[in-house]
Amino acid sequence: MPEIGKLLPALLVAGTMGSGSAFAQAQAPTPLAPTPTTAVPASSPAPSPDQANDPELARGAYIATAADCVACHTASGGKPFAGGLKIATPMGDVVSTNITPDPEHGIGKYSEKDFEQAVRHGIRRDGSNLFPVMPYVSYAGMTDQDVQALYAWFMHKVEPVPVSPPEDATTLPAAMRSAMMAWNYVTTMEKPETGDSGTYDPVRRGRYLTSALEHCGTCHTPRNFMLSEKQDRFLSGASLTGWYAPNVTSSKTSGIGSWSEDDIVTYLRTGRLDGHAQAAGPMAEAVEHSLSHLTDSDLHAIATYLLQVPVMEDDLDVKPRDSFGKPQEVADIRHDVPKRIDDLTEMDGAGIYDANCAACHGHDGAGTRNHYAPSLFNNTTVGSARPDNLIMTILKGVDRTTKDGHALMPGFGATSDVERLTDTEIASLVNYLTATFGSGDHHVTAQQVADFRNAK
Amino acid sequence: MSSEQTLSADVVIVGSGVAGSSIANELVRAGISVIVLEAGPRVDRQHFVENFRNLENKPSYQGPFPAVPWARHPPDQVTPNDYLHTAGPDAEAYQQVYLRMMGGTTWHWAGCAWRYLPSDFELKTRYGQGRDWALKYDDLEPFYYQAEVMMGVCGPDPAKEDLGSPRKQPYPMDALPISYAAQEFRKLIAEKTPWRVVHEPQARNTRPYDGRPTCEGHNNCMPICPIGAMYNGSYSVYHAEAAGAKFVANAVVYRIERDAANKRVTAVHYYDPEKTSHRVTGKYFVIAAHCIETAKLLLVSADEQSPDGVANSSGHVGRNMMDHTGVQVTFISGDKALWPGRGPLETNVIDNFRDGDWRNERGAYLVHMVDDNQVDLATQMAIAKGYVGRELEERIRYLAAHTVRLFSHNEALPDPENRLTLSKTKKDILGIPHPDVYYKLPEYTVKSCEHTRKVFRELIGLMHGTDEQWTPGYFPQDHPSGSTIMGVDPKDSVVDGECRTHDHDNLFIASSSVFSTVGTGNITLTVAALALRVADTLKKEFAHA
Repeated sequence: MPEIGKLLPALLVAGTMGSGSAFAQAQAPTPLAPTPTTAVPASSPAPSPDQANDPELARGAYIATAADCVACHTASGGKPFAGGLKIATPMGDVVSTNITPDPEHGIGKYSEKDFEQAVRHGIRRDGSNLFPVMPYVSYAGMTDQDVQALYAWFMHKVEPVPVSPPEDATTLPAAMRSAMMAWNYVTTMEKPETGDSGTYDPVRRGRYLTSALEHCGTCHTPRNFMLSEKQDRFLSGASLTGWYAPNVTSSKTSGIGSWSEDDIVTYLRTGRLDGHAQAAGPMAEAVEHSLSHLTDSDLHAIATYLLQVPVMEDDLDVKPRDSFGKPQEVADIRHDVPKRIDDLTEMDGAGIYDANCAACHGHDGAGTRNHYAPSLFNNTTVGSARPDNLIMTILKGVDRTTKDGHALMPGFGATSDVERLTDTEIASLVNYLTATFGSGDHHVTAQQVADFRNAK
Repeated sequence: MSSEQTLSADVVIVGSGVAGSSIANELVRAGISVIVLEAGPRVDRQHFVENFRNLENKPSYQGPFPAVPWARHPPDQVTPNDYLHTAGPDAEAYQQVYLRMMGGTTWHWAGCAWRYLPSDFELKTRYGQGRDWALKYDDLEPFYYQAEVMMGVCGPDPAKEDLGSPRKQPYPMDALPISYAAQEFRKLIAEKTPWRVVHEPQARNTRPYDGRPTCEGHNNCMPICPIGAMYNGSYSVYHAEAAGAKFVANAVVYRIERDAANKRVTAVHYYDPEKTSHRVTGKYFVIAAHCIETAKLLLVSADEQSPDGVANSSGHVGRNMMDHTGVQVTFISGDKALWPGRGPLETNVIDNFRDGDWRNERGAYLVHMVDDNQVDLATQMAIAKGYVGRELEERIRYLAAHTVRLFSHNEALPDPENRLTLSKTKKDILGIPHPDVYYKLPEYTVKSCEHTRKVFRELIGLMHGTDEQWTPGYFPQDHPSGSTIMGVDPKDSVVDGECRTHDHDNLFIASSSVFSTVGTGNITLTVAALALRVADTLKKEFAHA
């Protein structure tokens, strides 16, 4: 686990005191990516009929969806875009702001220029800097036309909510904001695209969607010592708050180059590719709120683009993550006498699997025939050389709603009503799973699981 | 032996099942401090699942839940057994099983979440039988709904399938899809009889609900739902704990202490497994244990102030024991294969006999077509008939596809002679007497069962059934009730309409033990609704204090 909490202080010190040396002492690359700490309702803005009559508003609605604004700017159970979602950052929690057109509590007083400055440059109307939790580094690539449409849609179609979210519970000192100004100078921003983004050829359209709107790199591109995305390692994989956003370059071994264009489209639209992969955590949210609402041609454009992104090989994942394992021959782990319930011996990995997982994923790991419960072999999460997402999935579960339905695997973490596994139990389970269905026993320790459990 | 340490809370609850844990959850979220004392241990699902998987005797509902020595519960329904001693003409019909552990007996219920009918609360007024409750259906309706939301109950659209209990809101979840066997059974009943089959309301997820997954039809709701799709009390324990309630496992309450006037309870005392005694004080006390354990505790607490037991000035503690003692038959259908055993265990009910004018002379009942996997029974039958080799396999396949199981819940009446007392000879390791129960099936129930047998024979005939196997005598349904009966008159009842004991102002009982009659639907939802109503009463009293 990267010790992400130690990075931004270095940045702060550097920014406010003018010392560059702290940068060099910063540790491993880390993301500033937002990870909602609570679930967001599926309230993505879909164009309504009257929007369809106004091309600009329809475009704005679609851009808002593709840029996934709702994910961060809506609290769990709250009104769309009224903010209030607590977002874990390396420095503490930040509460997202109200971006409805309410003049007092939202962005109602923003001119189009103010709006553009915030979205593409990370500068608020009062002149202060936004934290890059707001992915303006990516949104900088948006065309003028799309920013205008987005502004029009927010001003005319989003219901004003006259409530301010609770003040930032953040530990981020105000001075941090000015530090961002320095950071903005040295980080790489997307270059604004030009013309009508609706007329681009598939690769250009795919690049635009991937880089400027969906801001895929925010999570999937590793960051350099200054926390800027390393453009020379574009989409080659990075950690965020416990989850690992994997290599999605066109590498056939480390990335998704062995998937067809249709495979990628299916995954992006539904959050799953049967017999290969399922989206959980932040990716499930991206699918739920944004990707599943994109047009088929846009999803194909993204897939086309991804399949020609430069190959990046990974140090650890040197075989396709979905290429490991096979059905497990069912071992008889039965005994004939029930254990006394007041003598609770800790089960081994096979026992924990049997008691907690096998009911859905099968004793042989093949999952259900309709893949609602996926197979555990030929599964990117189990096959990856990094156990991160397997551990996180066990801790947090999967909760993903799309037009195809609501996929829910309960978590087995500290708030589960189904089962609360200990760190030791999860370590045993993960090692059993990777040894049986994945790329080998990862020898995960209870301490590692604890680190993931506490990851922020 | 007494411990120096005294625990204290605003409300002290005995029992952590659906009643105790849901009251705790409600109170603690209203800012009222709560301690819940659970006699049994705390064990999590994975151990029960493994016990079940390791068990040779799969139909044993108690098997995966072995009791601890300091909180015994009955083993499977056998007579005699070494904990719940039953006697009387129908001793075997009162072999109830239940669990003493954190979360309670809903670890192994089938999730059937019936509301009672309005008439069930007014049996005396409407039919001249039994008793009236000291509350009416309408008093309980909002709490029924609250309980349905808490547990996550699925059920049919009331506009399409009215189950007779008026609803102000639809069920929280859509009804379960019905299995092939159920579809065929429905068709048969609709086409060939004047009756109907309805969706049984179930505390079971038909969509992700409350962070728990959708039912996958593992078909072993009893003894244990392996994935948490079915409600059990442990969820309410977790929810209450998350809000700050304190739960103490292995805390066997054995004494209820009152003030000098014997009007208010001042403390309860419990033993830990080493028999160290602990005293727990509070402003209010709720006994939320199982029907049998609730009566046992009140009787065990007898002392000079109350020689017949606490809350027992009426002498009715331990009396009026009821159940849904019924009739059970399995047979081989001569019609096409039904393949039972897909989906949850109990999803289909013939509800035509739940109410009618005839209730003035015989009890109501409901009929379950049980959708359980019949491979185990089919195998036993085929082997018993001497099949071997390929013919054995074919026979098992045929029998598993064609075996039908029917059972009924028949209404009992409160009879003071049907009585729980403390064993004079048997005690547990803490020195607490075991429960003894005398049981004679009321004539009202016998007549009801006779009617059921007639209906079952008709159904067997319709399905060209053979190889009938009737469960001898009567079939206990594990729905004990009535041992601290509710009523208006303190002379012949233990609690009032609020479930407050007539004798002690700050002592409530939240258990099926307060039922005045037992109706026909499974009892748990009514237990939960009564418990939530107790929580509501307590919240109001604290608000006024």
